[in-house]
Amino acid sequence: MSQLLAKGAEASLYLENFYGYPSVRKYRRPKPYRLPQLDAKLRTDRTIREARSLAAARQSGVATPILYQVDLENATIVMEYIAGQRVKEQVPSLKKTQRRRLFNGIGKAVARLHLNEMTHGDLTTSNLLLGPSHLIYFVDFGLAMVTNNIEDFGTDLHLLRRALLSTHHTHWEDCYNAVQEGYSATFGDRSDEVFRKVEAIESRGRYITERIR
Amino acid sequence: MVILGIESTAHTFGIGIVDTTGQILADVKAVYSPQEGGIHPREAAEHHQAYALRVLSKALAQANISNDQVNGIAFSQGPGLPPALRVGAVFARSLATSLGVPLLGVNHCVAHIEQARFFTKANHPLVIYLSGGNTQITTLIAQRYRIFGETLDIALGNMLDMFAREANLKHPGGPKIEQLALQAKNGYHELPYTVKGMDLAFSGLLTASKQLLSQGVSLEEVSYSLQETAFSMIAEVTERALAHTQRKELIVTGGVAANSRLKEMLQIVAEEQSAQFASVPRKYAGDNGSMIAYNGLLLLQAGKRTAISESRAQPRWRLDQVDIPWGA
Repeated sequence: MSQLLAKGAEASLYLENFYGYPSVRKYRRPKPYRLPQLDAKLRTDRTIREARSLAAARQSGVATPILYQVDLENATIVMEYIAGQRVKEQVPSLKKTQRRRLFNGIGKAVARLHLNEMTHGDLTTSNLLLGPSHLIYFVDFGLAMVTNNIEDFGTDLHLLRRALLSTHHTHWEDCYNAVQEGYSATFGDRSDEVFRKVEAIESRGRYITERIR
Repeated sequence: MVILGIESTAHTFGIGIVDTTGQILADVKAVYSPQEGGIHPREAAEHHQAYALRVLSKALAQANISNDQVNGIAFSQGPGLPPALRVGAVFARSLATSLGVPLLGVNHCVAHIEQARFFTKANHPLVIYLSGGNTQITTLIAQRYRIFGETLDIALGNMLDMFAREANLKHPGGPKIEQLALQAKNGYHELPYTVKGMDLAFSGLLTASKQLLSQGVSLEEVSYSLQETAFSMIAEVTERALAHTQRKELIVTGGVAANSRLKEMLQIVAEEQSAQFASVPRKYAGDNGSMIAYNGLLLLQAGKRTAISESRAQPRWRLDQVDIPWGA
C-alpha cells in the first residue's frame, strides 16, 4: 500500500503505513544528469544528514516528523506523516497579525536550531509545514549542517529572507521582520552579529565583477 | 523603427541594431583580450574607446543604414566595470544628443534574459543566467525578475576563467576547458560541491581544482571533474527552482550557456520536471550589442526613456531592482 504524495525536486514522497502509523517514505531518486559516483555520494550523504537532523532538531525543541527508519542503500527514510499544509500556500490568505505570529514562531524555531549548533540549510516556505494545533514543522533537512559558525547561521537566515523576497514579495518585509523579532528573542545577545552577517552575505552576492588577481 | 544598442560592461565593446520586430540588422563587436592575467578595467576602457567608432561604422554598414535612420540609442548602464561602462555611456549620450533621438539605459542582465526569451520564444520561463560576472536563477513575477538563487561568492564563468588562467589557457577559458574535459581518459576526482538552498558557492571548488593540478593530475581530468561538479551544482539548484516555482519552461543564457555538457544536463532536468528546455543560440550567448538594442526597443515601446541626468553608469545595478513594464 503506497500512494505517491508528492514528487519534489530531489525526492519522491509516498504515503504508507508503518506498523499502524501513517508514514511518509522519502526516496531520493538517482539524478540522471550527474555522474553515478557523484550521485550516489550526494544521495547517501543527504539521507544521513536528514536522518540525523530530524532527531537533533526535535531535541532542540523544533517540531519535525519522527524518524522511523533509514535505508541508506536505497537513499530512503521513513518518517511520521504530518497532516498539515505548506506555509508557502498559507501566507497569501493570512491576516497581518496571523502572519506576524507565524513568522515570529518560525524565527524562534530557527534560533533554537542554531542554539543547538545546527543549520537547516534550505529554509524556504515550501519546507515548513503548519501541522496540527498550529505547530510549525520543519522538513527537508538534506542540506543541514552541524555548526557553531555565525557565518553559517547568517546563510541560513539569508536563504529564508531570499525565499520570502522571491516567493512572497508583497509581504516579505513584514514576514522577515517578524522572523528577526522571534529569532533575537530566542537567540539572545549574539543575534545582531548574525543579522550583520546576513547583510554581509547579501552585499557579497550583489553583482560581482571579475576579480583581478 | 530602428534601435541601436551599445554594450560595454566588461571585455566586449559591441554594437547591435534591431528593427521594430526585434530582428537583428547588425551585430558587431570588438573584444578586449588581456595579455596576461584577468581583465584590467582601465585597459578594457581604453580598448573600447579605441574601437568604438570602427565598430559603429561597421554596424551601420552591416545594417545598411545611415545615422539618421536610427530612432533610439540604447546602452548598457550596468552592472559592470565602471571605466568600461562609462565609455559606453558617454558614447551613447553623444550619439543620442547629436541625432536628437531618445536615450535608453538598459540593464545588462535583463538584456541577456530578454534576448534569450526572444530567440527561444519562451513565454514565462525560469531563467538560468550564467556568465563571467553573474550566476542567477530567476523568473519574472509581478513586473520584476525575482532571484531564487545565485552565487554566494564568485560567478561560474569567473571561476572557469580563473581556473583557465591558472592552467595557462588563454581567455576565454570556458570553451578550452570544455574541449579538454572531452579528452579526459580517466575518471572523476572528487571536488567540493557547495549548494546552499538554491544558492551556490564556487571558490572552494576553484581552490581544490588548482590543488589537483599542482599535484600532477592531468589538465584534462581536472577540467572534466571541475565541469561535472560545477554543472551538477547548477543542475541541482535549477531542478529545485523549477519544482519551487512550477515553471514549465526553462531557458539558459550568458556566456557559459554555450557549453554543450551544461545544456545536456539542463535538458535532463527539464524533462524530469516536465518543462520545455531551450538555450540562447551559441552566437548570442556572450555579451553583444544586439541584446542591448532589443531591450532598448522594449523600453521605448513601453514608453520609457532615460534622461541625460539619469544616464550615469550604474556598476552595481541589480537585476531585481529593475522594473519590467512589459512583464506579467
